Amino acid sequence: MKREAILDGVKTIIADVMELDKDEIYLDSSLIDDLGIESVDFIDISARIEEEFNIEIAKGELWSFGKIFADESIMKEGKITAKGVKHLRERFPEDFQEVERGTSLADIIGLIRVKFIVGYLCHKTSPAIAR
Amino acid sequence: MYSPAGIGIDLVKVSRVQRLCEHNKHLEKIFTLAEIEYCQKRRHKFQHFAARFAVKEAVFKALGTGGWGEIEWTDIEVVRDEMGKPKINLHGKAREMTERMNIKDILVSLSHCSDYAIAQVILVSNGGFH
Repeated sequence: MKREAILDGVKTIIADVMELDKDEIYLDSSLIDDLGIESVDFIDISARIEEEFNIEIAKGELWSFGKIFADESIMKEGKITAKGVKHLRERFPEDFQEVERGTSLADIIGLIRVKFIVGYLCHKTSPAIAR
Repeated sequence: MYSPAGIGIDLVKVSRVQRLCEHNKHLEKIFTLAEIEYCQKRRHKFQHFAARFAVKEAVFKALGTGGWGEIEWTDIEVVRDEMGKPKINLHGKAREMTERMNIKDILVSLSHCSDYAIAQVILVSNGGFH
């Protein structure tokens, strides 16, 4: 599946869940800050992604921050460590380049953008498509 | 000496949770089977689902983890005691975390009407982390 088609599918889902116009949603839109997505919406979006893209998202797979941030060498007292910065940049090269040592968890979560979901789906539906 | 160790509150639209439930084939990822069974038997089942959702979110807030942590939605379960009063059973990572925090009790209060559900929880600790 092509990246453009995936982006369009993701936009359709977010627009439907959040009752937004698709034109208001960009690849770089922050899910929380720009689109106002909240926990109940994340669950809804995940479920619709599974249905639309005919995939199953395993626990902790898409929003896979739980295990990362539970590691004290990565996130200490709500702030990311140098090791954590390196880990995030390597694992999500398109998504968290602004993160620096000491960036708070809340700020990192605010950096989750539409392209994060698109990158995940590109990898999931066709690993040959680069994130 | 027992003291409050965390507080969380959440307000959710019943219609929003209804939409979530109607579109989601895997409700068991959010609610335990006992919660689903309880809610399904109620006349205003989505108010009950919404109240349970609000409790889970309030617990996340009280623990300071948000939904991004390792705790699963189903690790937080709302049950009712013999008097019908809601209480919270924790499982998995939620249980481990509260044990580490020396949480001895979780007080919960919830309410709902046709439009909204609200829940508040207070973590009660006897002090100190393991």
